[in-house]
Amino acid sequence: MNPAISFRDLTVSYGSRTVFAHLTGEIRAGQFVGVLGPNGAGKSTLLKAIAGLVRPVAGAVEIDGKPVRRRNKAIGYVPQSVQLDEDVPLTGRDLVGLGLDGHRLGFPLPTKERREAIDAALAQVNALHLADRRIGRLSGGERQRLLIAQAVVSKPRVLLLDEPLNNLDLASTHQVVELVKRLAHEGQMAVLLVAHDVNPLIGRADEILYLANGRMAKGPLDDVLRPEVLSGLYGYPVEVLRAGGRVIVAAGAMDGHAHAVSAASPEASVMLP
Amino acid sequence: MTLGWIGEALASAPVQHALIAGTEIAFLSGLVGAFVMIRGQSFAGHVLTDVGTTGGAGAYLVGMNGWFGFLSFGVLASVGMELAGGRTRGERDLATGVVLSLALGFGALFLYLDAQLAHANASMAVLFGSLFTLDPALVPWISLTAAACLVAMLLIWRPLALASVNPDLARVRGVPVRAISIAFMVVLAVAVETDALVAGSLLATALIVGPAATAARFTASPLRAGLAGGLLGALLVAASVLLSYDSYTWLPQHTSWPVSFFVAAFTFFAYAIAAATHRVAFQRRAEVELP
Amino acid sequence: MNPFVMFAFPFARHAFLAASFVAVAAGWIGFYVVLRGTAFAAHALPKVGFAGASGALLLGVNSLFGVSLYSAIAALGIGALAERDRRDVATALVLALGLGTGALFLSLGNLYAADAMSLLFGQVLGVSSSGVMETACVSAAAIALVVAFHRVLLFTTVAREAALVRGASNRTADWALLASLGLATSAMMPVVGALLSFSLLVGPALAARHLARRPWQAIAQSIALSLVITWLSLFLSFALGWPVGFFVACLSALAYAAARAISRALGRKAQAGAA
Repeated sequence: MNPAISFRDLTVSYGSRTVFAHLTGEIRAGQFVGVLGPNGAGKSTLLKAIAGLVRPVAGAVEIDGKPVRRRNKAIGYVPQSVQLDEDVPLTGRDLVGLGLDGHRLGFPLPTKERREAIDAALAQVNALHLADRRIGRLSGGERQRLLIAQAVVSKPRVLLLDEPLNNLDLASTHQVVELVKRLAHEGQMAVLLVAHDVNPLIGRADEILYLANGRMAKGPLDDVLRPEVLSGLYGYPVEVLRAGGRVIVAAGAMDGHAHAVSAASPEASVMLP
Repeated sequence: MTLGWIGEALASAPVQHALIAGTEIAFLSGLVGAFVMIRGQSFAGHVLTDVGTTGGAGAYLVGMNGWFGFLSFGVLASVGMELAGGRTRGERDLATGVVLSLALGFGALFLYLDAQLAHANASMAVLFGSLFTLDPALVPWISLTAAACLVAMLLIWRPLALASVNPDLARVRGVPVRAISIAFMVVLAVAVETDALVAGSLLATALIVGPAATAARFTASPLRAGLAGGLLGALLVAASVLLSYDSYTWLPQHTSWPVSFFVAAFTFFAYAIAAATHRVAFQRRAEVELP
Repeated sequence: MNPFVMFAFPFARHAFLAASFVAVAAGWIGFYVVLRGTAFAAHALPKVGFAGASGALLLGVNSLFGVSLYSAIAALGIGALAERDRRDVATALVLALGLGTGALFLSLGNLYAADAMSLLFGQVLGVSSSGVMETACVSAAAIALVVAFHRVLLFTTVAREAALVRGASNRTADWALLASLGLATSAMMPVVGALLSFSLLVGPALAARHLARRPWQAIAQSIALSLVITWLSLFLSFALGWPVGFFVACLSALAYAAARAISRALGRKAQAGAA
């Protein structure tokens, strides 16, 4: 059975700058993978390459065993943010409905199935009370939930979230991650969530994909977030500090005890069991 | 190709007046235009000319000279805008447009009434320029005003440059940012409203932004861009005046081609050529050389 | 004279009929213009259309189809320009060129200032009976475009990347709207005038946005407002002789202000009710 997402030898460049090269990996249905790494590492780019929004210079992406292309019903994409006027005449219901058929010509027909599908998606993200509110007047967290509903209403196999936690307060952050985990497991979707901070994902994400210096390491959180693994990616000493259940990745060894795996590590993609 | 017609043109009094007034104000517009670009205030130029249309049209109604109508409404609007402190975005852009259309709507009404009251040519003059029908008595006033604005610009050049690029630093250094902004807006209003005499209120902003933007392709210094833009603008206006005068003989139906047409064509092509051949020398505020 | 007498005359009936088609198109397409905030194109296209219309007058060609074709092409040109260069300068100069060319055509045709006035500010009597057919066709074509791209326009405006994943391209939506706008403004110009078309396009849609919560509601309200404004303007223009554009501008601004005031008042009441 084909993995939901699989990519081989993936290389993306912007002009003369190579963002990442020779990445290989796969994500199965029902898996919730957090994508981490420093700023500029290419996390969003990787997501976009998987979504088919960015064309790689080399390598390939397959969704459900088929090459990814635009107009893919199997992918649900939650964008990083949306610029909305306060007075945009769209309700939550309208926004979610666009996820169903926003690419089609003409006006939507108000059938019962359509309404039920939208209600179901709203219920899944716990946003039924937002159905008839103007989307421009909602808070960041509420809007985020609607965007997720918009992505899942067509029951995709793959759910991609580009830095959804950026402008959320702490409570909303945990709510959204919890929701995403539920969607992955109950909906049997392969989920990739790009984040800046690993902490909300602890205990919820199944695996971490750490992207740095054009290379990646993927595996269970405790296997990836280790000084030797990360130093291998970065190419210089990196510390992983744990305190009170929280994890912090810090560059530079303070006492020289962190042993960096050879900086010229031949594997671009380290898969940890 | 005989250039004798130029001599003939220069001998004609309306042409002389047109050249004097036109080139002076074009030169000032170039200087002003350099700062309009830095400050990103080209939208303000449109506002001023739209409001000015109403003023110009209204002036004809009450028997006043069109220039005074343009100027008074323009200066009032400029001070009002600066005091109201508008930055527009999104819906506010559109909403501002609706309000502007209101002003223009009254301009339309005034122009209609002008036509009814035997100022039949008021609309063409207000909208598309009236350089050749300029009242000779106005020319010294235009020269005086242009000179005064020129002096003002050169005086406030440095503090204006600083205030435009880095207002907080300017305040720290004791520059009266508010006062300078208002002063600049008034000069802009004078420049663009007098440009409306040359090319009409619909095209006046081309003289403000066009030559300066063309010059800005070659230099990063605002002073040099302003001066070069001013010279270029003056040159273009002079050429437009002369060609417009001569165009009377070009076609069998014997009408002069409007000055505004030549101004629009020249400013467009000058910019297009410059843009095609040179990368932008200064575009973002951060890259501007401070004098 | 009782102004209602005008309906006895065919030209007045034609004018109202044509203007009705124009009003529906303006109100409908205006919804998308306001949604995407394309203030610039809405301002620019009528001015370029002015050059086309005065050129048509000069050549003695009175066909609305000709002007529509020219405007649609101009729309695409403006779309291309707006992408490439700093819109403030390059496109301002293109607009100036368009207006200057229009002025040239007017003076070459030895056309009276009245023609300039009617092209720029609108005229009641501008439409013949064949003109009604043409206006209806052009308006219908403009509306058909935005109807076809309705969902794509909404999706790409609100969540561009998510839309792209589903195959709804923002650029395609842009072009569709621009082409529609080109057609609509060429239909609007004889009635409302080039300089004040913006008012009719944007005013009703802006007002509707404050009063309606859902897209189809906003479109319907925008159309209704646009029709009322157009009919009133035409009527008043006939009765008083003043330019149509003047009334359109005033009524649009009034409608917008009223809508904002009403929505604010309703909002305050809702808050007070909730408290």
